[in-house]
Amino acid sequence: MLARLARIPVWVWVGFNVALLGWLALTSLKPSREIFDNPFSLPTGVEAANYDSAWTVSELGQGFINSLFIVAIASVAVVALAAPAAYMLTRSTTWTASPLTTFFAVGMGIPLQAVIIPIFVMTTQISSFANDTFGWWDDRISLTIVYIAMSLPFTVFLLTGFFRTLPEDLEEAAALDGATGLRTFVRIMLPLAQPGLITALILNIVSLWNETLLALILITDNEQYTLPQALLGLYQTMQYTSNWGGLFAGVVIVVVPILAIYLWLGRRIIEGLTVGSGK
Amino acid sequence: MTALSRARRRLYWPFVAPATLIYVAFFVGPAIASIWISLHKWRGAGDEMDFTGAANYKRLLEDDAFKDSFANSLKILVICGVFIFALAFLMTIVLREMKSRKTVRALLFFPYIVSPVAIGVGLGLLLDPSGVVNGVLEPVGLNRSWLAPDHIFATILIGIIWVTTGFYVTLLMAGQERIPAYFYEDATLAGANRWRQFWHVTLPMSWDIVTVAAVLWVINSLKIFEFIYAFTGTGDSPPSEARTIPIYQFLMTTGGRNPAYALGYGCAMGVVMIALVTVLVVGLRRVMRREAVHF
Repeated sequence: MLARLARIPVWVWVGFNVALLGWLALTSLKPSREIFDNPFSLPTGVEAANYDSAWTVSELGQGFINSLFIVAIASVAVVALAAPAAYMLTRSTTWTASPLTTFFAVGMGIPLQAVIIPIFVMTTQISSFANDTFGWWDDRISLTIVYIAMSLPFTVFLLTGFFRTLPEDLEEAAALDGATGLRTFVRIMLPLAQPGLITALILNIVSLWNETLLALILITDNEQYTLPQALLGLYQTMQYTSNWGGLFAGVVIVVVPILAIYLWLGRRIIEGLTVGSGK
Repeated sequence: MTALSRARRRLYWPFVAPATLIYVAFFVGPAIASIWISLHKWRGAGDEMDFTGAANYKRLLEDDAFKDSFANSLKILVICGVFIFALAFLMTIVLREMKSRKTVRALLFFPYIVSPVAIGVGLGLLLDPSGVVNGVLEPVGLNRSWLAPDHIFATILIGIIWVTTGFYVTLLMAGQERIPAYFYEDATLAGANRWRQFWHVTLPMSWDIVTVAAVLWVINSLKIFEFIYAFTGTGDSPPSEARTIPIYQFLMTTGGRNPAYALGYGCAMGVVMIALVTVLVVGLRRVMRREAVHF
């Protein structure tokens, strides 16, 4: 009886989460002036102008494309760098392997706040050096590189855990057949490790898609804003523009890609995060 | 030496070096540079670095705004931590026998992976003085100005609890699911109710995951930035009531309308954060280690 009663608050909580999503989506379809005048009314039509203004006028479209490229390049690069490293760190008997594994893991405990100012200084210097030498630089490149570096500790940690579970006999057999180390890794280990690599990729995509602090610090040009940064920009102009419909549309634009990934690969995200932490 | 281990030895550095170099250059290097910069008064490239020793740290001790931010960070860590873990434990008890627990878990977890900026903005709209929540609460007289300086910090605490609990529910449930079912069957036969089952089976047997979860909470809670910034950032910088160490560091360095660029001072805050995380994590592990039960 008590156990059944205890389920009620759980369902209320779950209901709130669903209702919040639904409310955001429905409100994004209402004209701005109705949003606060009639907060409970259903939209009478589809106010596409909200999405249009968020996408073009407030430049969330540009932000979307920037985020898409930065996140895609950084997540693929992180996995591409971390996979061979994690593989060697679990397999090699060299004395540096174990301390290096710990060295990567320590990075998970270093808060971004402890590295962010030197990173700001360093990227400003890279940018002015490149501008002087080649006459060109794009801060989005700096952001991508920093994203790669800060995602390495967790990714290496996750993948070392994963490679450790893979059997060694196949590598021995391949070596007996005369396959080179590189070939064994690419042809045998990478396909075996595919589930782990995909989990690592998704987790990085989700966390980098949401990252905002570094973007705020490293990127100053509106054209180069990432998506969450563009949403913040839109929010901060609200007191002058009152484009509430556009703001709701903006929130939906930021949430939908993550919702889509979650509906598609949710189990993998949950398992990856808990297995990664549970080891 | 076998062919395999020879091949591995040859390939070791080519495989490991690229990741290590980038990690050192763009993460570990900056962390060490933070310590060095924190010993200087410096406004960034172009400004002469002025060595001031521990002056920035002395200034932290005397800066009331920093002390408030530090206290707020600890309040988030402790208050939200207690609620999140209490709620997560309760939920694992309730969810254990629910058929739809996977769905419930998935829905509780979802806010955790949504952009904290979107969550902050969305909640800000929900709690707007003339928004939906006050619309519902007005008839019963519970409406208040959730985002006014008096209430904002409490609202932030509730928001963080709401966003984060799902993740810890998921973690603790993963720990619970590894416990063989016959332990619960035995406990039920022995007449133990759910609460006693939790206390005598679940908790001791998933203690290692509880420890990891607690460590993760310490690390993650102290660096919360985006949620608070988006939640309060409708125009000017967050009010002093809502500032935590990350927010204050941002405002003292590159953030806000007129960035202060007190880079040495900001680095000192970063170093304090590393020290705080280290002390708390080491302490927590020590406190929690003894009670572990193996099975």
